[in-house]
Amino acid sequence: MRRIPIIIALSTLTFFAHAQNPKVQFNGTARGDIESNKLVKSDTSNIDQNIKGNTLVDLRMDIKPSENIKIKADLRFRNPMGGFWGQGAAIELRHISLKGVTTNKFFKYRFGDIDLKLTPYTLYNNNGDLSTNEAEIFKTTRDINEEENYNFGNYWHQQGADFAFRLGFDKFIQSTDFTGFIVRNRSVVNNTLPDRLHGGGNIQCNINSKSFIGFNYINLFDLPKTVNDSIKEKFENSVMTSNFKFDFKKFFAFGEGGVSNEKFVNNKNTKTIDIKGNFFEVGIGKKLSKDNLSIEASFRRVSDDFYSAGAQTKRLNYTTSPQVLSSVSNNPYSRDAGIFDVVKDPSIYNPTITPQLMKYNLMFNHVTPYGKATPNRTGFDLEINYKDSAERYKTNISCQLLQDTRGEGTTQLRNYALLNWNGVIAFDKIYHLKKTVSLNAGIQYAKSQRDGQNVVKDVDLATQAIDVGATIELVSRFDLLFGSKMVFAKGTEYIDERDTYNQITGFTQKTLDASQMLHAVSLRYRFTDNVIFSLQGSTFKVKDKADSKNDYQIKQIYMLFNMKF
Amino acid sequence: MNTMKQIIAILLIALVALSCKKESQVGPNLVDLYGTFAIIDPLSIENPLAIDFTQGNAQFKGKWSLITNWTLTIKGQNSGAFKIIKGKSNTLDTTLGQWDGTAEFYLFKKDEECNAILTFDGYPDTLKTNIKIKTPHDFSKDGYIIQDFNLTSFTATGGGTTTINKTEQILNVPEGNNYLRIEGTEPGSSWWFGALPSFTPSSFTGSPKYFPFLNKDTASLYMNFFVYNYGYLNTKIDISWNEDDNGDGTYVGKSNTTDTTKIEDSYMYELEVSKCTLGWQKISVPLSKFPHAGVWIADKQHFFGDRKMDISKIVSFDIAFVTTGIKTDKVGCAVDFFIITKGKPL
Repeated sequence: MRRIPIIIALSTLTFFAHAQNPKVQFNGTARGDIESNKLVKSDTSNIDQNIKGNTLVDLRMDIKPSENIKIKADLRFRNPMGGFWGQGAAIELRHISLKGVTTNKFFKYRFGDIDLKLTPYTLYNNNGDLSTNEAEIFKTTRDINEEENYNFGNYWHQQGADFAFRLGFDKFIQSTDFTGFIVRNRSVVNNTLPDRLHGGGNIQCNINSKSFIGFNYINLFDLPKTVNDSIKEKFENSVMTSNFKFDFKKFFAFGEGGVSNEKFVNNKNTKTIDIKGNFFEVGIGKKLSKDNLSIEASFRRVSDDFYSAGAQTKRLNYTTSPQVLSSVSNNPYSRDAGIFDVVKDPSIYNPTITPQLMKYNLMFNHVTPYGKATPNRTGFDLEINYKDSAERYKTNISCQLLQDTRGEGTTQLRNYALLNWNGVIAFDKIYHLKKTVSLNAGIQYAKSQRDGQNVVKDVDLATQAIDVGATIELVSRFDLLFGSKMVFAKGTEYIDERDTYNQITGFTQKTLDASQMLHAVSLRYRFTDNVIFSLQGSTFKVKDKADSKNDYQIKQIYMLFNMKF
Repeated sequence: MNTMKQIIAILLIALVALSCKKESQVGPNLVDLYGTFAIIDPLSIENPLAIDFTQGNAQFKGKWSLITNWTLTIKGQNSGAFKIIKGKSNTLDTTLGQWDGTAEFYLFKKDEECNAILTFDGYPDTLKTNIKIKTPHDFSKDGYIIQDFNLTSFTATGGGTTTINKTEQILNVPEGNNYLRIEGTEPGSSWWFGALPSFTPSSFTGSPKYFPFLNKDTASLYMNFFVYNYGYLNTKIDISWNEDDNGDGTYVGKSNTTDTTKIEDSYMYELEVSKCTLGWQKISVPLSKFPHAGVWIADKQHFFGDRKMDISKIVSFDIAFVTTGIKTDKVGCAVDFFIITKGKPL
C-alpha cells in the first residue's frame, strides 16, 4: 500500500516533465549517505555500533503560472537504508510558497514557507556555534545539516505571509522601504496552549544608496481565544528598535537601539509579568585598500532584562539527545551534543523560535551564547577583515571585551573576552598551481572572570576552540581533505537557572577541565562542481579530567554522494 | 551632512539616557548558594514528645547558611516505617519542613518513637533529633479505608479449602496492629480460598447509592494495599468493582439473572501474588487501569454490560483470594490495609 502514493507522485512528476516549459522548472538535490558509528572497544556497557543511511531526492519545482506569480514547492523522496520494498520510504512536502508582485511591480508578497530576517536584536538566526573557522571537510556536513533545517544565512524559515513595497521621494530622502510579516509560531497544543503568532515589520528610510534610518518592530504573542472563549492567559514579547547606517566619505557609522517588553496576563486578566529591557549599539567602520580591508569598532550595551525571542533563539538545541550512540561510557550516561554532533547531526538543529533562553554549551561560547543580543553584556567589539583581490589570503580578527551590566548573584560584574582569528591561504593561487591546495586555520578564545572575594568561588572559565583544515587536489578533481576541531575548557562558571519568563531563579556552579577533539580525513571526487562523492573517516574524543568515567570516543566512517541539479 | 551629525547626536543621547539605570544584582545571592556552609539552628521539632497528626502536620525547624539540597529521613523505631522529605532551601522553618505523618512503605504506629536525620548534598554535616508520634496520620481523610484488619477477631469468608484465616502480628505489620493471613489448598477444581466482605457505600453517612467518585478522577483514584508473598505458587488476589449501569441502585451479575443482556459492568484487577517479590509489597493501582471483567459461562469468558467505565455508578468493591486452578498443596498470602486514595498513591 505504501507504494501507491509513490506511484501517484511519480506519475505526477512524469506529467510535469513532459509538460516542462518555461512555466515549470525543476531543480534540486539528490543525496545518498551511509554512516557507520562505533564506540571504542574499551566501552563495554553500551550498544557499540550503529549503521544508518538514506537515499533521498529533493525535487524543487518553480512554477510560474503567470508573469507575476511564482510557486515554489520542495518534494522529498526518501528511502532509508534497509527500507526494502518501500518500507520506511516517505514522500514529504518540505516547502511550499507562493510569491508575487503586483503588475506595476510596486507591491511584493509571499505566502507559505518564507525566510525572514530583520536586525541582530529583533529577528536574526545567529550562526551555529564554532562555525566561523571551520575546515572544508566539516563545512560539507554542516551545510547539509543547515540545508535540512532551512537555515540559510541568518534567516529564520517560518510559515506565514509577508509583504514589501517602496515609496520614492524627491526631497530629504530617496525612498522608504516598508516590509511586514505575520507567521505562526505555534499552533494550539492539546486545546490548552493557544495559537502563538509572530508579527512585525520594518520601515527603512533610504537617505542615499548607502545610508538609511530604520524602524523595526516585532511581537511574539498568543491568541488566547483559540483555546477557549473564557481564556485570558496571554504571553507577549515585543521589541521595538531604530537602526541607522550613515556612509561618510572617510568612514561609515552604524547603530541600533531599542526596547523589549515581555508580558504575561493571567486568567484573571492581571498582568503578572511585565519585564522591560533595552539595548543600544553604536559603531564606526572604514574600508581601506580598495575595500580589501575593513575595520569596524562598536560599543554596545544590552540590559540583563532585554528579551527578544527572534534574535536570542539558538540555532542549535543542546537539550536534544544526539542521534548517534547517545549512551556512552562504562559508567553509562546520555551524552550531550558535542562538536561531532554540531557538524554531523541535523536533528540537534532548531527550527522554532522560542521565548525561553535556550541552554548553551559552556565549552563552545559562554561569552555571547545568544549572539549580539545576549542579555547582560556591555562593551567593545572590534573586527578586522582582510581579503586580497586575488583571494590568495583571507583573514578575520575579532575581539569583544565585555562586562555584565548587572551582577548575577553578586554586585561584582563579570569581565568577558572573546577573541577570534581565522585565515585561509590558497597556495595554488600564490604559486600558480593548477590544482587546489589550501589551508585554513582558526582559533576562538573565550574567557570570563569575576572575583569571588573569598566568599564564593571565582569565575575563571577559559575555553579555546582550534580549527585546522586543508584541501589538497591530488589529481584532477580528486581531493584529499582533512580537518581537526578541538575544544578545551578549564575553570569555573555559574550557569543561570531561569524560569519560563527568563528570570534568574538560581545558579549552578560548573567546574570544567575537559576537551573535545574531532579529527577527520576524507577523499573526495568532484564529478562536476555540483556532483561529489566522498568517503570520510573521523574520530571524536571527549575527555573529562574532573571525572574520567565520563570519557568516551566515537569513530565514524561516512560515505556521501551529493548532487545538485 | 550637518543634519546627519545632528541625528546621530540625538540618537546617541537618547540611547545612553535610555540605558542608564542604577542596577542592583539579579538572581539569588551567590553567597547563599555557594558560600561557606554552617549550621545556624540545629534540627528540632515543635512538640517533639506528642505529635498528633490528626491535629495537623509536624513542623521541623533548622537553619543553615546556604540554599542547598537537603534530605530529611524519619525512621520509626518499631514499625520499620520511614519517610524521606527532600527540599532545597536554607531553612526548615517553612512548609518545606512539614511532615504529614505519611510514610514511604510501612506506616507509622501510634506512640512510636522515631529518629529524624537531616543530611545535605555535598556537605558532611548531619543533624539528628528524636520524636514521638502520639497519634499517627489519619488515612480515612485521604480516601476510603476498605479494610485495615485491626479488629481483634477478623476473619475472611473462607471456602472449604481454606486452612488458615486469621489476623496476626508475626510478621512486621504494615499498618495498625494486625494483618490478615489466609491460606488454603487448591485441589484443582476450587479456584478460590477466601474473600473479604463486600465494601459498599452504606459505610458512608446517609448510605448513598454510589461511592462519591467522579468520572474525571478515574486516573487519580488509587486502590492500595499491602500483600505478603510467602513464596506459595498459584496464588492470586482479585479486586473488582460493580457498576449500576441501569441506575436501579443494584448491580445485576450472572448470579442475579439468566438474561445476559441485563448483566452490568464489572471491572477487575488481578494480582498474581506468586509472581511478586517475596515479603511485603505495597501495591497501588489507579482505577483507570482496572480491565473490564469477563463473565465465565460454560468455561468460556463473555463480556457483558455497556463496557463504559463509570466510577460514579460503583455500588460495591469485592476482594477475593483465588488461585490459578492448578492443583497446589498450599496457596496463600497475607494482606493489610486496603484503601482507596485520591490524588496520589498511598
